[in-house]
Amino acid sequence: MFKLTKYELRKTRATLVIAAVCFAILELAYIIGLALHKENLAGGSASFLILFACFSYFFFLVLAIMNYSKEMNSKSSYLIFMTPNTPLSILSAKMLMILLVGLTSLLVYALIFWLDIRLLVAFYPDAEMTGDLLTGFARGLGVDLPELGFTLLAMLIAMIVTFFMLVALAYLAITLSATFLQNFRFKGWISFGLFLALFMAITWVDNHLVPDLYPNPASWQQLWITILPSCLYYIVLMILSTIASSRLLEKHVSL
Amino acid sequence: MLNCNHIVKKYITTTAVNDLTLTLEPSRIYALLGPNGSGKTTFMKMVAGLVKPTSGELTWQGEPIGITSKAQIAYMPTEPYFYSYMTGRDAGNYYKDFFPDFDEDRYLFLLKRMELDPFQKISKMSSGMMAKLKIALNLSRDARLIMLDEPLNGIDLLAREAIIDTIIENFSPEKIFVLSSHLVEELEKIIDHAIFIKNGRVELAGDAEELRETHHQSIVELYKTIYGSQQETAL
Repeated sequence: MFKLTKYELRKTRATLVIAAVCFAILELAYIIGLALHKENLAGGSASFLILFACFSYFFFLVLAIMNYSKEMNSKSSYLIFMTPNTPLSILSAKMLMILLVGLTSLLVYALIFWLDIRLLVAFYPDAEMTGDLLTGFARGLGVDLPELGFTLLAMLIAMIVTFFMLVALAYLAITLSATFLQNFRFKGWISFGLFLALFMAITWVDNHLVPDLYPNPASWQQLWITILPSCLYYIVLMILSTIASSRLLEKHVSL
Repeated sequence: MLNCNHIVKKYITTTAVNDLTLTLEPSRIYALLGPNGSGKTTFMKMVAGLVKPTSGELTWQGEPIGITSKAQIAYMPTEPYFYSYMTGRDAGNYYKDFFPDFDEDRYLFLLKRMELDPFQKISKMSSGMMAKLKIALNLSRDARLIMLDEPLNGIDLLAREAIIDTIIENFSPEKIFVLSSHLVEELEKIIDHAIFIKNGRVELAGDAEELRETHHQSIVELYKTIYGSQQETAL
């Protein structure tokens, strides 16, 4: 599976390099803005860097789905499906690639964010005072910073789990279009419709049937307990969708 | 040994393979003959595990087509199937990573012999160069069953001879070669079995020499006899 992941990474290298270059340009603009005391440049580029980091979530989601869809509709799928690998390992390798790229990006963003704050303080010593002021203000409002950290971590985990559930669901819809629906007209639209219908059904079940233990969590522990049933539900769906896609490929593949 | 027992592959409006039954045995070079749309490619894709039959039984060494068979069967599709970033060298590394029977030295030797640059991007290659590269890749595998779909397509007359020589050199008694082509004259020299496929089923099959003797016709003439009326109707 790791060899497959290596080739998945290699296939997306060009796209990732372009994204990294865009990020590097924004970072460079931020550093130049700080060094030359051009606040508009530094502020503008910092805003775009934050937007870029937020946008990455959707970028990786689209990348994961488009890669699979493109592969199933092109002859390059022969290359991977001719090899002695199970469909499950092929699908898992694709998900592992996105997980690795996503986690690496997250680490890079965290590191760059920390460095950018350090740089800001180095060029504008008053910024540290502002930071202290904000921290004091937050404490005054009763916001505990470690608690805020755990809350953000819980939200991050929930976002990652939701991400992979969506990817697995999209893979299932694409696999259906490449197997059972292969001879249908508008199979792409049918599979997209299926994806939306499944997503709506899953969300409905999540909202109405999955227990919400603390509707208004008062602490990070309560928040973690609250998101746990939904996360487990999404993990189970992710596993089931991946197994279903794998079985469909095993029994009905037609490339 | 490959066994196909009443295999059928249906698409919504067409039946690509229709009740095909045949057995392929080691130490033979088979020619899979038939015009476009006769079911040759679908049959080979089913054997390679790229297409699942609608019904029927398809086994390799007694086992259904799967991971084990994929490790022992080489299939060269007619279409370009490489990733856009790949060079000849990258394609070789890919095969080396996934097929334990791939011989890298042999591959590099074949590339040199076919005058191909391993560092040239495959997407920039001409159709003839790409056809040679695909042949080099698949013949560098020590697979038990090697299926080459239209191996002579897009290749000039002189290079065809070199490719036919390479195919013969790589053949050994424990192997099965299946060559599909409509360039029957080129294949007639090297094949020892012929399978004529018409409308998704075996129309005629047997030892090439026996077929010639029984029907008093060469394989090319048999091809014309079997498909002649079909071609005329199509025209």
